[in-house]
Amino acid sequence: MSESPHPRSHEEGLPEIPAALLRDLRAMPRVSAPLDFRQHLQQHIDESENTLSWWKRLLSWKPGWGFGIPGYAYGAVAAAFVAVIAVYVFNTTDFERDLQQEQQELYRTTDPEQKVPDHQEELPAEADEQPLPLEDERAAGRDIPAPQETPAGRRSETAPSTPETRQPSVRDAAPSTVQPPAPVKQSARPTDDAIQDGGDASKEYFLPTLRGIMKEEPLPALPDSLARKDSLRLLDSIQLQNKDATTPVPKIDPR
Amino acid sequence: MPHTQELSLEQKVEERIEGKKLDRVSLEALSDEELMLLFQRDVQLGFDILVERYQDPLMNFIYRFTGDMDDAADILQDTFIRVYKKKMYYKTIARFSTWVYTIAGNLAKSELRRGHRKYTTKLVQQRHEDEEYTLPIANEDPLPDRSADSSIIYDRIQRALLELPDVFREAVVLRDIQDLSYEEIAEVIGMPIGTVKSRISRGRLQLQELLKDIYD
Repeated sequence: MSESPHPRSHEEGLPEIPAALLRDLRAMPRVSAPLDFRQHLQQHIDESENTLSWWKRLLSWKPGWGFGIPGYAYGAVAAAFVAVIAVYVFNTTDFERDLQQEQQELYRTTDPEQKVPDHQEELPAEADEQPLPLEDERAAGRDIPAPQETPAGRRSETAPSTPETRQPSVRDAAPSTVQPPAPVKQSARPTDDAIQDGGDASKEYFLPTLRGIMKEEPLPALPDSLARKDSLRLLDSIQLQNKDATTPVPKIDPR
Repeated sequence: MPHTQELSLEQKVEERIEGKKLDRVSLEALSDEELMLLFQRDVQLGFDILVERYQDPLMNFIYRFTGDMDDAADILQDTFIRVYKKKMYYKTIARFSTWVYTIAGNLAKSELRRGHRKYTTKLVQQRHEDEEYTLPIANEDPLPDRSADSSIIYDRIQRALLELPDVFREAVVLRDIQDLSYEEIAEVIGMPIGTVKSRISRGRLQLQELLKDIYD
């Protein structure tokens, strides 16, 4: 065993320092505050009280003044303020988004005849482009309704036709066999399948460039030929012609 | 029990406020904690008496800690301003003396950290200015006579104190100059009593080493 004292016990006990050093330490002259210290302190306090900014005064912890927020709570108050601002901003955005979704949902679930075409401005630019009448149509002397005469809602009514109703039109779209089809009611209205199609219905409704192809179906590659383009333009012309014919006309009861 | 003591103090202060016994003579007989409670109830005279009681001890403590009279006066003023503004933070479960020493010590340490370079320069400048009686701290300098003037010895002690690390210097000054108890020092520096004793002993040993030319 070692005879030397443990360093820990040596630290805990009072060191062997000269008594003269302790005596001199305790006998060191006392330093006093400046003579006018109290007046100077009071003057400084008064100045600092008078120059206190309004928000510090508001947040100061005083018994009869301010909100009583202690200094260590400034950070919490600031964080809460930022959180409120952030929630307000993001909630506003979410609310607007939800409002739009609600409107779309309401539009899907309502009767197609009661739909108000209030999304006309959301139509892509191509939708407003009216195909020019073909040469043979001009030669036949047919009256093609001018696009600007068509009411805004009318064109929207013809757009949501189902692929079943469109594909025969595409098949029969040869320029030589252009005949106005009979005013079939289902060609003017979307079918029940289209109505129950959820979110795809509205997309299909506002995307006439798909030309009747459902969303899930792969888009077939159109041959880049002038004839094909002409046939598509002819299809548009036929749809324009059918527009007036598909308008439901109330029948007068002879009785 | 601190809680019952606080209640009794509160009651005494309330009775004194209700009885309008707020003249200087009667307030000077109150304890620090009672005066602080009165000051928390907007009795300005309580603060004034506390300033009178503690301005000199705090000034001595801060000067021994920083070694600069002007800075000590500024820190003393900042200490009482902080007491004035943060009066509602004071709880009577703590002693007012330890609370105000804690504020002063923290301000002094912050000032030392902020102006360490400034103090070093001042110390060098002071050595040049006081060359007629300056006694160097380093060992290679000539030994002073044991019968030298006590003011020179006090000056040597003060300079040796400034050579100590802050934690040791604070503990030694509070114990050996301000004559606080170990418990009070533990409250001031926020450490256990064992740590306080350790710091005091190590500070004294370093002080002895720095002043061994005088006390050997």
